[in-house]
Amino acid sequence: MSGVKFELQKEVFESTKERLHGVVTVQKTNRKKKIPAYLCITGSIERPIRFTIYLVKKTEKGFKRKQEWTLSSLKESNYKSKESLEFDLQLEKSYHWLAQSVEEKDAFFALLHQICSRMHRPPKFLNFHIDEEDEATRNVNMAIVSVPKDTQMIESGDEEFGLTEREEFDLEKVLGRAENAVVNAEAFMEQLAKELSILDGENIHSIMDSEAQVNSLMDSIDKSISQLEEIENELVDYEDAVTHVKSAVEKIEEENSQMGTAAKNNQHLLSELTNLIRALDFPVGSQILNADFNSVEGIAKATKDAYALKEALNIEENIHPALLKMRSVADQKRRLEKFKQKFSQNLMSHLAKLFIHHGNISSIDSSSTVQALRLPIINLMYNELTPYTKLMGWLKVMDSEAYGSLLKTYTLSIQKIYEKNVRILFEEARTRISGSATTSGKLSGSTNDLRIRGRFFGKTRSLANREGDTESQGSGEGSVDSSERQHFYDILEQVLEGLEPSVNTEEKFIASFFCLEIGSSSSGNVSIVSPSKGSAGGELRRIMSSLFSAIETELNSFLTNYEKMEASFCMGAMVRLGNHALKAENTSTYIGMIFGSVLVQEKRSFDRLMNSYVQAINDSRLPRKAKPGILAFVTDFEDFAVMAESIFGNSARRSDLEKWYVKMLTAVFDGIMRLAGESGKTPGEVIRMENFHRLHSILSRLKVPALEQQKKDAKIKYNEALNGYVTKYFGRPLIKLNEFFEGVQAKVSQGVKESEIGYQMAFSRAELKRVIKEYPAKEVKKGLESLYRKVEKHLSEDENLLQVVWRAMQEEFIVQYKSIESLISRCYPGSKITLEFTIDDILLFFSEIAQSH
Amino acid sequence: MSPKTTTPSLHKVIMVGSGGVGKSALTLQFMYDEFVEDYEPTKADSYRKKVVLDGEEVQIDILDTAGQEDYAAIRDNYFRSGEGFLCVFSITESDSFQATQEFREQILRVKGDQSVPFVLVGNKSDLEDRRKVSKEDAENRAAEWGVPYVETSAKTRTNVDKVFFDLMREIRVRKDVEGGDKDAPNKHKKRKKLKCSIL
Repeated sequence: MSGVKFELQKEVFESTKERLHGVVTVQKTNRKKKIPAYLCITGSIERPIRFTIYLVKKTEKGFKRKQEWTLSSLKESNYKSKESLEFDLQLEKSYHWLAQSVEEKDAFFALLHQICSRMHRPPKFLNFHIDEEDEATRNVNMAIVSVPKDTQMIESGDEEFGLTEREEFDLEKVLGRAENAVVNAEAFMEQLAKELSILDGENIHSIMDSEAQVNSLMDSIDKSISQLEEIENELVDYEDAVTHVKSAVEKIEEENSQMGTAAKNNQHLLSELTNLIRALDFPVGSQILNADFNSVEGIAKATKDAYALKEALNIEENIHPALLKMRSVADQKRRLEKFKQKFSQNLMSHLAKLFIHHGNISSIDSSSTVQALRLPIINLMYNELTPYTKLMGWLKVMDSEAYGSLLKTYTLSIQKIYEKNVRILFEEARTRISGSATTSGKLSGSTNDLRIRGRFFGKTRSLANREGDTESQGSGEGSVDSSERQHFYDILEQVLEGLEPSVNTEEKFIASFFCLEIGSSSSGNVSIVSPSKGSAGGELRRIMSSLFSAIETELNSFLTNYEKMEASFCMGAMVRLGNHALKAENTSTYIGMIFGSVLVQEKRSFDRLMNSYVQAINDSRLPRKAKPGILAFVTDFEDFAVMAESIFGNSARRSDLEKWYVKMLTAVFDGIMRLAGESGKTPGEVIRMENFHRLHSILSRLKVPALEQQKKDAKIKYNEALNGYVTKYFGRPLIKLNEFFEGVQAKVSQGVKESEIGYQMAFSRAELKRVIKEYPAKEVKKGLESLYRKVEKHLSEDENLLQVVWRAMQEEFIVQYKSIESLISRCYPGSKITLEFTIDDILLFFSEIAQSH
Repeated sequence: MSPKTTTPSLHKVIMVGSGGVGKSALTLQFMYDEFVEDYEPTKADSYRKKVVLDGEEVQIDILDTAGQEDYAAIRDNYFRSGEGFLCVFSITESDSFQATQEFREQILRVKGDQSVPFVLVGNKSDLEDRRKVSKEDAENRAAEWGVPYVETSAKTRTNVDKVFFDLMREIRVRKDVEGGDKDAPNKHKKRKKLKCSIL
C-alpha cells in the first residue's frame, strides 16, 4: 500500500504541488470488471491548505486522474458496517465503492473523519464510530500523514480548541505521575525541604576535606615556575649560538651559487665553441679539391663532401652573429669559400667536358633515326650524368654563375644532336612518302601543286565541261588515292610517335638534372599556349625550345609542303596531332605544346580548305548539257564525307568536322535551289527532285546524328519537288479539259450553284461537248504517250526516278479523271454527257505504254 | 578510276507484295543497316547502291513499291522496267500470302516471261509465335512456280542480304543467257533496233 502511495505522490501529485495524505484502493460496486482505482485525499502544499478527493485510475501509461472533488463538497459518508467492504460517499451525487480491505477502509475513514472534524461544517458520518483503538490508529495515521498540529484549515478557519493532542497527552502523563500532589501538597513540600538540607550539609563537608590537597597543588605550581625560568635561560644561550651559525650558512650559500654560475658559463662557452668548431671544421678540405669524378664512388664522395661544405658555409644560420666577428671564424670562412670556388670550378670544367664530349659522340649516331624513324634518346649520356644530379643541385644553390654557364654549355652541345636528328627524321619521312609513291608518281617531290589543290570541289568546275574535255581526267590522275593518303598518315603518325619519347625523356632529364620545375598549369591548355611564350616553368621551356626549335619549324614545313600537293591532308594531320596532343603523357610537356601549336596551324588550314569547298559549291555552274542530273557538288560531298568519316572517326576533332558538314550542306542545299532556278531545258523541279533524292540517300548512308535535320529537310525538299513536277506536267494530256473545268471550279467557288453552271455562256453544255470532242480516246493515249516521253527526256539516268514519277503521274491522272467526271455529273445532271474515254481506257493506255518500253 | 571505262553492271530489282509486309523495311535494312519501326505506307521509292557481287562490283537499283494500288494496271509500267522481283509476304498474315499469286500472275503477264528472276520472300520470321503461313505451304508454292523461297526478318536482318544477292545472281545469269554482255541497258536498245530493221 505504501508503495502505491509513494508512486501516486510522485507521478500524480508532485506536479500539482499537493501532498497525498491517504488512499484507499476501491472499485465501483456496480461494476463486474475489476478496474482498480485509488481514492485519494490530498492537501495542497501551499497554504492555505486545500483538501481534495481524487479518483485515480491506473492505466498502461501510468496513473490518470479521473475525477476530483473538493473536500467541502462531501456532504455525507456512510461507513456501512465493519464486516462489509462497501462504503458510500455523497459528493455531488452518491458514489458507492468497494474497498480492497477493511483495514484500508478503516484507515481512510479515520483520516477522513479526522480532517473533516476540523471543518466548519463537517459532513455526516454514518455508521462510523471512533473507539479507543481508533484513537490510537488515528494517532499513528497522524504521524504517517504528518498533518501539522497547528494547521489552520480553510474549512475550519474560525474554530477554537483548547489543548492539542500532544499537550493533552503530556498533561495526562504529568497528572498520572503527580497524582499525590493534587491530594497532599503540604506533605510533599516538607519532604522536599528535608531533602534539600541533607544535600547542603554534604556539600560543606566535601569543601572542607579538599583544603590540604589545595596546598600541595600550590607547592607544585611554585616548583614548576622556577624550572621554567631555568629553561628559559638555557634557551637564550642556544639562540645566541644559532645566530652565529645562520650568518655562516648564508655566506656559504652565496659562494655556492657563484660557483654554479661560473660552471654554467664555462659549459656554455665550451658548447658554443664546440658548435663553432664543428660548424666551421671541414676536415676533407684537400680531398674535395682532388675529387675523383670518374667513378661512381668518387662522385658520391664528392657529393657528400660538397654538401658538408655547403653546411659549413651556412654557419650564419647555426651560430650567433656575434661569433662571426671572430677573426678565426672569418679566416675559416674565407678558406671554405676558396674550397667552394675551386670545387665548383673543378666540377664545372668536368661537366662541361662531359657535355661537349656527348654532344660530339652522340651526333655521330643518327642511323637509328633513319631506320626506326625515331628521334634518338641519348641514354648513354643520361646514365653518365645522372650521378651528378645532386652536385648540380649543389651548384645551383652555391654558384649560380657556374650553373648558368653549365646550362648554356649543355644546351649548345646537345642542341646540335637534336637539330641534326630532327632534320634527318623529316628527310627520311619525306623519302619514305615519295619512295612508295613513285609507283603512282603523285607525291614524289615536285608535283604541280595547284593542280591538285581542292580535289573534291575542284572537280566541280571540270565536271561542268566533262563532255569531250580531257582536263577532268588529268585532274583525276593528279589527285591522290586512298592508299597514298593512308600511307602519308601512317608516316606522319610514325614521325609524331618518333618524336615523343625522345623529347619527353629529355625534358624529364633536364628538369631533374638541372633542378627545374616542370611546366606549371598555365601550359595545361595545349592548343592555345605557344611553346615560346610559356611563362611559368619558363627556364625549362626556354631550354627545351632552344634544344628542339627545329621540330616545330620542320613539322610545319613538312605539313605545309604536302598540303600544297593535297590540301585535304590537313584533315588527317589535324586528327593525329589532336590525338597526340591530348595523350596523357604529353599534357603540359614541351612536345605536347608543340603539337598543340602545330594543331592550331592545321585547324586553320582545315578551315581554309573547308571554306574553299563551300566557296566552290557557291561558285558552281550548271553543266552545259541537256540533263544536268546529279550535280557535281552533291557527289563530291558524298566522296568528301566518306573520306572525312574514315579520317575523323570518333576522334576528339570530330566536332570541327561536324560544324563544317552543316555549313557545307547549307551551301549544297542553296546550290541545288540556285542551279534549279537557273536551269533552262530541264525543269527546276527535276533538278531539285533528283538531287535532293540523292542527298537524302547520302545522308541516310552517312548516319551522322548531327545531320538528322538536314536528312529530313532533304526528304521534304525531294517530295516537294516531286509533287511540284507531277502537278505541273500531268495536266498536259488533257489541257483544254482541265482549263474548262478549272473555270467551272472557279465559278462554283464564286457562288454559282453547281446545277446552274450549264446556263453560263462559257460553260454551256454545247461548250462542254465541244471540249470533250477534242479528247477522244485516241488523243488521250497520244497525250499520255508524249507525256511519258517528255518525262523520260527530263529525268537523268543518275537517279532512276522515272518509275517513281510515272507512278505518281498515273495516280494523279486518275484522280483528275475522277474529279472531272464528278463535276460533270454534278454540274450537268441528266445531260448524259460523258468523257469520250473511260477509266478502263486509261488503264489500258497505261498497260500499253508499259508494254511499249 | 575513270567512270567511263568500267561502269558496273546495273541490276533492277522491284519489291512487290501486299501492304505492311515489310518491303520498305527490307529495303532500308539492306541499304542503310537500319530498322524503321514506324509504318508509313510507301507510294514508290527508288534506291541505288554499289555492292560487290561474287567479287564483281555491281550496282543495284531497288524500286520499293506500294502494297495497295487502286488500279493494278498502274503497276504495269514498273513491272515492265524490273529485271528481278522480290515478292514479299508476311508469315503472320495469310492474306498477304494469297496475294502473292496475283502479283506473280501480273508480273508474268507484263514481262511475258515465265522464268523471270523471282524470289518468294516470307518476311517477319522473327515473329514465329504469330506465324499463320506454314513453311511447307510457302515452299510448295515456290516449287510450283519454280522459284526459291527464303524467310527473312527485316528486324533482325536475317537473310536480308541473301535475298537481294540471290536475286542479283539470278538476274546476272539471265543476262548472260540473253546477251552475254554486261552492258545490258545499252545493248538492249540496240538489239531492239536491230530486230526492227530485220523486220
